[in-house]
Amino acid sequence: MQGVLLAALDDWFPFLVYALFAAAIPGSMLLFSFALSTRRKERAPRAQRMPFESGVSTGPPKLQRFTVSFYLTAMLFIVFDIEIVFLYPVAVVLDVVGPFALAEFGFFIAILAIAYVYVWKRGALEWR
Amino acid sequence: MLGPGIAAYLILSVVLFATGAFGVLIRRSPLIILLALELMLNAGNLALIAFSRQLGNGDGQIFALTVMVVAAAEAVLGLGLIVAVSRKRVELDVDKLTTLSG
Amino acid sequence: MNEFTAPSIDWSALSPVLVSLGGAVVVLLVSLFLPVRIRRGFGAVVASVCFLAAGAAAIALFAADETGRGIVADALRRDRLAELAEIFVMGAGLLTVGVSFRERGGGDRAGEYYALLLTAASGMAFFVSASNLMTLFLGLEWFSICLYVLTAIAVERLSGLEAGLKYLIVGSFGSAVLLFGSALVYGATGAIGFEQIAAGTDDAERLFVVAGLAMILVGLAFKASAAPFHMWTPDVYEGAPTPITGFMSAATKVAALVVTLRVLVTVFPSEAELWTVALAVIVCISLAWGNLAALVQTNVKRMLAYSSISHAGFLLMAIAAGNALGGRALLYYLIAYSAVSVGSFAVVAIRERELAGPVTLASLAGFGWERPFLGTSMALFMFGFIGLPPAGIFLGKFYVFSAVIDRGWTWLAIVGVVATVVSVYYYAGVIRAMFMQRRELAVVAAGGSPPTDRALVAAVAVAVVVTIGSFVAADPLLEIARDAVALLPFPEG
Repeated sequence: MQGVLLAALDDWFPFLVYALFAAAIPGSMLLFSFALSTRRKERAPRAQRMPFESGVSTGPPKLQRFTVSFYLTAMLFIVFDIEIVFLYPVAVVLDVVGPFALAEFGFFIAILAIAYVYVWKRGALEWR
Repeated sequence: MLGPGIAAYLILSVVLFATGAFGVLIRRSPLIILLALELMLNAGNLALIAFSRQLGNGDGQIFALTVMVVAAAEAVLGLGLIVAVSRKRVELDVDKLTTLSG
Repeated sequence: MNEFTAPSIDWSALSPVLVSLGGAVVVLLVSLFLPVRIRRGFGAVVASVCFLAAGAAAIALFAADETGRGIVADALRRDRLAELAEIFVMGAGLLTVGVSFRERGGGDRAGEYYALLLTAASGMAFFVSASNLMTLFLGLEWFSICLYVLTAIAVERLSGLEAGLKYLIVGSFGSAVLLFGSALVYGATGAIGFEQIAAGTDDAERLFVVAGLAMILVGLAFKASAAPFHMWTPDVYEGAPTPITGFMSAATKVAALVVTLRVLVTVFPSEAELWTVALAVIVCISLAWGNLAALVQTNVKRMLAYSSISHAGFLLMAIAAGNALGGRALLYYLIAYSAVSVGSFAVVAIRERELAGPVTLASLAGFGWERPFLGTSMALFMFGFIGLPPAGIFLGKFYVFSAVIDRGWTWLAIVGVVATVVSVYYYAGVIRAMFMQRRELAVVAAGGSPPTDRALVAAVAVAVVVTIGSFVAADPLLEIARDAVALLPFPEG
């Protein structure tokens, strides 16, 4: 019985580690954003913080528009994010290709870094 | 090989491609058109990967990865242009993009 | 797993691509740190140097190798066809730098402008040396995406943004069709390399090969702006900044047609009967549609756009001939056609800057007398488009027609001659507008007469020299074109 359990554990151990990480990363994000928050007062209900304006709601406008910065950041994210797909084939054959793949990847990352420097200096990462 | 054969994948990819092509031709919102274009490119990807699996060589898979990156670049450029156009005018309808009359 | 050996990369063979791409990186990054005022000058200087260097590298490679060889694990192919096309592209790029030097506005985007121009040229250099379906698709998208951005680079003009979006949508549609065709061909033959596909088509599923061929042909026809896949051309040519229009009409055509020739001849020799007929149909539609639509245009840029569609017809006719004479005619025609295109759009660009508005036939009134050199050059370019001496297109058309007659398609040559006769009307209309039209409406130069634009005049002068030179020095140029296509296995011998 115990042997079976151990064997199962052996099979599933990597998955368990993976699951722990998967839970820990978002969990810690949530936790820290509460723990490190410096503006605790604003967690009071919105109505308590607003001036009373004779019944005229000062709520948010009905059709909320996102700022362009949002789209810009999202688009930059997509572009840089998708480049990761080139890592997959390398990861599959890394044991065979080894140093060559590393060198190629250094080169590829350098090209991405050029793009990053450009985006940064152009001010596309600043939230306006 | 497990799962459905090559024919099923091919039929699916042809259907996807046709859906995308019709989407580009008949929809008016540039956003939906971009979606349809992505559908067309990914139909090509599906066919490539299915063939690659059937033939047992990796060329198709590498091709598909390249296409994914190109498709993302294209989508981002399209979104950027749409945002730029919509900042100039509110309504988005490709039939009304007629400053250049054809 | 089998032993892996890193592909040996022949850097010198890649130099035209790498030089222009490296120049783009330099322009892009350095101009961020420069004051806005000198960005344009810096970009123009670096871009010219890179175009010259890349062109020189291509010339050196052309002189060096006679046999052609695969590089980077046979993903690309170095041969004289690719190198000659690279020389054309870099030349068109160099002239475009001159034409766009005094373009109004966009000073802070000058770095991006020149970087994108260099990247587009580099992508075309990659595209023309593509030797498998993946590099074909990658090269196509590489230069196309640069051109989409360049079309829309004047973000304050709605027409530019619209043109960019339309170009993106239609262009991506074409690319997606080409991709699906590539997938089918890969599925049928199990290979993506051009030569392996050609070797494998005999025992492949013919349905897939034919469907794949058709879709690849359609994708390339979109890029070459051949009718009926041309609908983006007038809008994009009109909305794009005029120097970029000139670049597109010359360099994109060179790249698209050279690749069409290479793909059809090397990948699908077994289907030659099919694609020559398909091309002949596309040729007839392009000639008819381009010429008839050009007749009714008043906007000069749109008129030239339709004229470029009809020239796509003549150029594809050379490929449809399917023989070595056709290949030679195509490359020779492209020399003169590129020069005439860039030159004529340069003249439109300067008129546009004077008027700060679109150039119509009416607003060309008196241009020939105001600026005699540019007016005369424009007249020469119009004669060139028609195919009259002393422009090289005269001989280009002559060789194209003899190539199809050689194949036994005299009727196609007759269609070409009729199209040429029709085209006289609208090209002559431009000359008439410049020299013989009375100025009924007062055309006022916006903000005073612009300063003499030496860079643009120099670019026009070079275009004139190439246009006439290609006629005068036809023999050596045809010799070069013969060398370039010597290695292609033409179906008709």
